[in-house]
Amino acid sequence: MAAIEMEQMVTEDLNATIRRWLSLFSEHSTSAELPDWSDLMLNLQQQGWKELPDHHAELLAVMTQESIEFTRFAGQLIEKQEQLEVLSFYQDFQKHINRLSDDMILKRWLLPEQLGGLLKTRFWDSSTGIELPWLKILDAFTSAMPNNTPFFQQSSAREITQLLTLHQQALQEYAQHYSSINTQAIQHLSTAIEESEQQIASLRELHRLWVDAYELCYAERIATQEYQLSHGRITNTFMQLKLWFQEHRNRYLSQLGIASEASLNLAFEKIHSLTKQVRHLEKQHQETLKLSNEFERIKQQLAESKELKP
Amino acid sequence: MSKLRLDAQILKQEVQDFNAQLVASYQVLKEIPPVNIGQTPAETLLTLDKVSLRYYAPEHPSLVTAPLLICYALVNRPYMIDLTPQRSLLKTLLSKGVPVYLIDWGYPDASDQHLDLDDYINYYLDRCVDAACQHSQREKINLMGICQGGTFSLCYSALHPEKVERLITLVTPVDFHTPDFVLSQLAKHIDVDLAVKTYGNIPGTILNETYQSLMPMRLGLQKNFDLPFSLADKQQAVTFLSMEKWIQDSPDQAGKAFSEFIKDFFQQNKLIHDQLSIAGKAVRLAKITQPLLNIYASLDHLVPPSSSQALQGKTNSQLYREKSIHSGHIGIFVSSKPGNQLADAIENWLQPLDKINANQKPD
Repeated sequence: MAAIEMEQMVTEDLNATIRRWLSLFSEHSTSAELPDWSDLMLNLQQQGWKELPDHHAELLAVMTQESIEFTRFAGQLIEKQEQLEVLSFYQDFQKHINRLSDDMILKRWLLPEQLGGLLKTRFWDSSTGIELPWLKILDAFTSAMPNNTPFFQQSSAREITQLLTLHQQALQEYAQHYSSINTQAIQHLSTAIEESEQQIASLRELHRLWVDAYELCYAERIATQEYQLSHGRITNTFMQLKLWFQEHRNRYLSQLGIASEASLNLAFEKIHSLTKQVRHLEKQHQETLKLSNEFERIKQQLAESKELKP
Repeated sequence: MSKLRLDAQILKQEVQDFNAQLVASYQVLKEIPPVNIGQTPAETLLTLDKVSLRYYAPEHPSLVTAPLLICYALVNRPYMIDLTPQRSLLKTLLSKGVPVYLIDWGYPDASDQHLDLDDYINYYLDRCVDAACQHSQREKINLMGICQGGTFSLCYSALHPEKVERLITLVTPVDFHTPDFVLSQLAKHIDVDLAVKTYGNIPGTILNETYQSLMPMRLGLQKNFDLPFSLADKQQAVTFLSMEKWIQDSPDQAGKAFSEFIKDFFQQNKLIHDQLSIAGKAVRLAKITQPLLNIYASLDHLVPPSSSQALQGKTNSQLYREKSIHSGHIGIFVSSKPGNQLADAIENWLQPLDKINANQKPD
């Protein structure tokens, strides 16, 4: 594309630029000849934040990301079109899916507070989970603590190391399930394609087959005892870590004389218990009142019947 | 030769279509204000802590159809039955002349984390039943429970049978250990006490993630892929946005009640095995003698039909019927055809008994 044309495009209204990109896209053999779609989309998203209600803006963010991924993936396939080999397609696709799975697992089981950010940016590897050498160093560090380190600090360090180790093991096992699901789903996809009565020529059709294949393999896997145990394990180790951080924070707050959520919780528990007691007493009071009224009624009846007697 | 023959021109066309729809969606989103849901006017009859009871009066009350009290689940919000004016079970029931009472459990906060099932069933639900009876000038009320609200309604009817005229359970889990109950399988090894100790109230976002994890590719990738196509049309976009708002509007769960529900129902399946007790009182399904209509969605992936169907033969209902509707857990409320079938079945169940027998056939 001529430089002057590009210059014109970037100075135009963004919306018009995007529409122009769309009309030019089908005429160009490679996306490299067009302005970068990701930049246009991110630009659209940034403008959208300002104009749209929060929820609409969130949807725009999701669609933008989807569009970038879809355009990138389709663009790669178009460029490879001449020499697209089935084997390499499946390999690339598996890499793509594994990357998405890793992202999903990390987002879902994001470790609490600062630790999560640290491990995510520095020590994550999809094949091993949290890198074991890191944990070994932490372990060695806690074992080699000088004797004069306060007992509280020593035990805290040991606890967190142990919890991290357990979580790392759970995460690794959990990730392994997803890796197996992906491998099986790709095999299913391959079989579904080859057994299809028609040629698969569009990404939409391929996408439909993939979703069906994945959901089938996923449903089979989560029905197994192994997956259910693994799911329970990662959920529990994650919560243990989160709780450890909370309890430590509460301990520090308590040392500073500040009420923590634990003390507030105790107050709520007492209020709830008292509310129940009051409700119970109210109910008893109502029943007593009812009985008392009934008693008065019978007394009145008796008095009336005595008066009537000669 | 492989059947995979991706065609460059088709791929280009797909990219073009997808991105053109996205731009159109953006224009539509700019034109639509934040959506309103649950718009049908109501009168608040009762407020207890964060719980409220609303009354919806029909324009032309039916002479033969009795009022209905709806008990929704604690998870998600009850306006699912009144999503948009075009997709509203509530409006359809009102148009048939049915007076409706609806319980809104509200949004529990930290001060509610010790609320237990006894509070929800024997206090809040009981007080709502009393208020509905008083307002409708009846001694008993027709009770319809949706999903977890259906399980609550079964427990309530077993504990207070004298206050329930007829019962409808809708997409209600009864047997939590059927082989296809995936949600229950995922809850099997979760340490619920640890969850409550960690979170206090269980965040609604965690529940949403769990529901999504039941079909991650279909509810994630597929849904996102279809987004621009759903949002490019204004009417479709309003429905989609309303549904999304409902999905994301997921209240936190009072910790104690959540813990009891997961342990007693999901993990130990006590209701169906006559082992459940609430506040020391045994909950026995056999105590239920009222006419009982059990409606389930045949494509439900959250509460599988097998779980709802397990109710058959467990009560002493004088008239037990099942109704299967070809739909999913949510579609049964918001899709046109299943929605109408549902409203018809409910209306029919509220008719005098002789008419029910004539019209309602077991499926």
